[in-house]
Amino acid sequence: MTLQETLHLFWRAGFGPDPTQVPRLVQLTRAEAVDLLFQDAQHYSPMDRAEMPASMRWRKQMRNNPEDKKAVRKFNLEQLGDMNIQALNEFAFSRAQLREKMFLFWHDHFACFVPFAYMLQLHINKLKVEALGNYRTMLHTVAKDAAMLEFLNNTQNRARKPNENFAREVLELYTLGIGQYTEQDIKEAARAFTGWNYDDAGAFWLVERWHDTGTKTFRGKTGAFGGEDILNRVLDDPATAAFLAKKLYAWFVSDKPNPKREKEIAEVLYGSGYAIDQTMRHIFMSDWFYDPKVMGNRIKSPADLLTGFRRQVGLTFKDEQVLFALQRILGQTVGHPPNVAGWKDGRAWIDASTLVFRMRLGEALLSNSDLQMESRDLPEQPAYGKLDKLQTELSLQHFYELCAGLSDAELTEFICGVTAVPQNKLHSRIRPVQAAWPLEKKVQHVLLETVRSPEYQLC
Amino acid sequence: MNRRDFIKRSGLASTALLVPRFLQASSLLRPDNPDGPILVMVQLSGGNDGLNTVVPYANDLYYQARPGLALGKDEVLVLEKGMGLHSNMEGLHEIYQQGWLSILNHVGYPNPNRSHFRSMDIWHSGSPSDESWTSGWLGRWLDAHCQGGGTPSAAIEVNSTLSLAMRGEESKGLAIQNPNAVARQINALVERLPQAPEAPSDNLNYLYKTLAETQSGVGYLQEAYRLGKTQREYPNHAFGKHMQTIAQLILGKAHTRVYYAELGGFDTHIQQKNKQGRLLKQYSDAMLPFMEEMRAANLLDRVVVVTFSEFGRRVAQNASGGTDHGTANNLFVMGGKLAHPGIANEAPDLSSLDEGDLKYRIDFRSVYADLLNHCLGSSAEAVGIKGFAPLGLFA
Repeated sequence: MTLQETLHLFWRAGFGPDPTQVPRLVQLTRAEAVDLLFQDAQHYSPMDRAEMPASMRWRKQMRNNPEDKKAVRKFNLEQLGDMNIQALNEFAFSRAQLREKMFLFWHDHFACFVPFAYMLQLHINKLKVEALGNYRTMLHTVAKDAAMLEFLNNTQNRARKPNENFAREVLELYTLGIGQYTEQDIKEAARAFTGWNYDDAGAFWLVERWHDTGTKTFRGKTGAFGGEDILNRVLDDPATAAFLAKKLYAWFVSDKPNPKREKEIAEVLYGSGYAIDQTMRHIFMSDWFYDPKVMGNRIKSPADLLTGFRRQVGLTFKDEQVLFALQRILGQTVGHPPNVAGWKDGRAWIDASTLVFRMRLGEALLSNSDLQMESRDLPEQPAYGKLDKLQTELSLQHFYELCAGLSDAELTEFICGVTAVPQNKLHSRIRPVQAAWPLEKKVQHVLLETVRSPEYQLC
Repeated sequence: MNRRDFIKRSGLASTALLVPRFLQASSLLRPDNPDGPILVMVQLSGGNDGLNTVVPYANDLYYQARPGLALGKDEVLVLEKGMGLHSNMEGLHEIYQQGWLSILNHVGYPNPNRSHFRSMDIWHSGSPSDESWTSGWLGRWLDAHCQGGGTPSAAIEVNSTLSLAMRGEESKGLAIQNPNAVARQINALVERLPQAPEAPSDNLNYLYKTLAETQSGVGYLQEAYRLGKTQREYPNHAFGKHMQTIAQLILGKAHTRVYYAELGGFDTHIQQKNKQGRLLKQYSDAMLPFMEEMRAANLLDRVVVVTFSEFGRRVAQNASGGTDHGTANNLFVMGGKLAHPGIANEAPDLSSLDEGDLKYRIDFRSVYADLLNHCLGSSAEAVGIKGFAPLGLFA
């Protein structure tokens, strides 16, 4: 593969390649590189920062003991913060790059937040386990997940007084997509999900006395459907595969819709019985995935930007909690999607203030300079406060070693090439290094020029 | 092609780097109405307890619900209809006495959501409570009225990040804490930009264009900020400074039509009394110099200030000396052209509650309809909010 193709694959199927590996990766064929990503995806760790509470019934507990409210909140808030940092560290340093990237996709797709750490951790680990598995399995698993049932108010969905929220999101956001169902479908589906709840350990629990056992008419068929029947019915509909294919294309390939390619993805997805690994392999092996118009033309999400940077320069934070503030200013806190629809992607990441901040951030991280920002603290999220000097540690030794013996032009092209989008030829446009500088200064100069360029915002 | 050519090509005036910034930027702006009304939205984040802000001191039910938290008549600044302001709000009381304040009670929406995030999204987007909209009402106003003219400074949020309210489908407002600091930062970035690419991808082009527009917009604001001279003393806290920044931009004749400011910390589940009192004082102390400033500059008829919170709080206090998330709340409208100065509607009805919470009688989207009509030369329909007629808040 060319350098551009290699970087493209490892950026879309991960958070960018480790620069030290690039000279080896460019030697691989497309199939070998894709195989490597799938093999490495087996080596992942589940999230484990949250402790199992005595009972998952936090709300009940808080209601009964208002004095405990503060303690319960604090307990959860601290663990949610630890989970967020663990998630970002896994993105940055896990060998299972493809699985971590897929997890972020599913986390965006099944956008869910509950202020109860252990419940959210169970949810996140289900997404990780099934990230490259089967979408039919995943949908059934997630639909019976405590965090999801809690988040979408299905715990209040009872035969006598149905709550349609869960049913609506299942049809609108997880399966058929808007316009593919009627309001009556939602009402009938909601009846089928009545009584879907969770027990003290967070396991699925069908509360029989709240469940509507009557006949429902859903999308032209009548029967005493349960929730599983509804999920299977919509999964059997190719509209679900088409909806998911569009989302996969937008997220992994391009923010410009392409009906022909989306249809192709949908056919693989549906034809394979919703095998996610086969579908992703098809995308990564397709020639159109390496279309020059597609490569290097995706605006990095905040998670991409922060993580890619950390991978490139081996960056760690002395105080990892600074990540809370950085994510908030950049507009994406992992573990806390903004609403049921997930994050708005692509150009929505960019506004005047985020762009300026993004361009200043790389320099601040490289040189420990002062960001002079106030983090905007939100209720029920870990606070950070004033964001000035970022206490970072980075290791550029690998660049010094890789660049030893290179000419100035080669050094510049190499660093720009492995850290930004090679086809933009940034190396020919930045201010050049000076011959008299020592190697370290040359490397640092090119890195600085790169990370504060608009080009660096793309992958 | 060098950077200058690129900025030229990306749709900005060829004068971009040659003429003084003030001229350059104002030529870029296409204000439909430079002397038009100005809307200032002030958000009290966390859910302000409206019942201890505008206190129904003459209502027995209030004391019954809040034995440890209620404020007596001697602890409030008396208004009318058996209500009074928290005694820390002398500034707001003065604004009230001048006739520049309308207090609307019972503002909310059907099927209220008690999550901060959801309820804030509902207020910001203007969506029904069972729908999630991903753009904001003011952002969609930008989409509808300010497109194509390169007006990144038409809507300014004095904050580190841009709220959903200010994000449209296409256009977005500008979040800025201090125009001078941001101008310095962005000029430093532009100064060291690489030579622009020959054939940029569309997203790379978008980034360069956004950067150039931001530089131009911020440069323009910096000039207005320099020209605007505030005469009043503003309190020395972040919110006070933010209101002063807005005043300075208005006095400097910025063409900005919408400003947005935030004061946070109102999520008072525990030990509410001191905490809320301190915040209300911060709010009130900043609003008085701002309004007096507008009066002195003969701008009171043009400037409308609205203060809201994502929800009010439970009528009854909780066991921790605080209050929990509630629903309907009061909302303040300030300006010199109010149709109903004072307490504009009936005092909160504490006898008819919905599971312990106030019932809404005014949908906040009707208030938006007024603001869109009166201040923004638009309508609720034009920003996708259907079925809400203006209330007639303005004379």
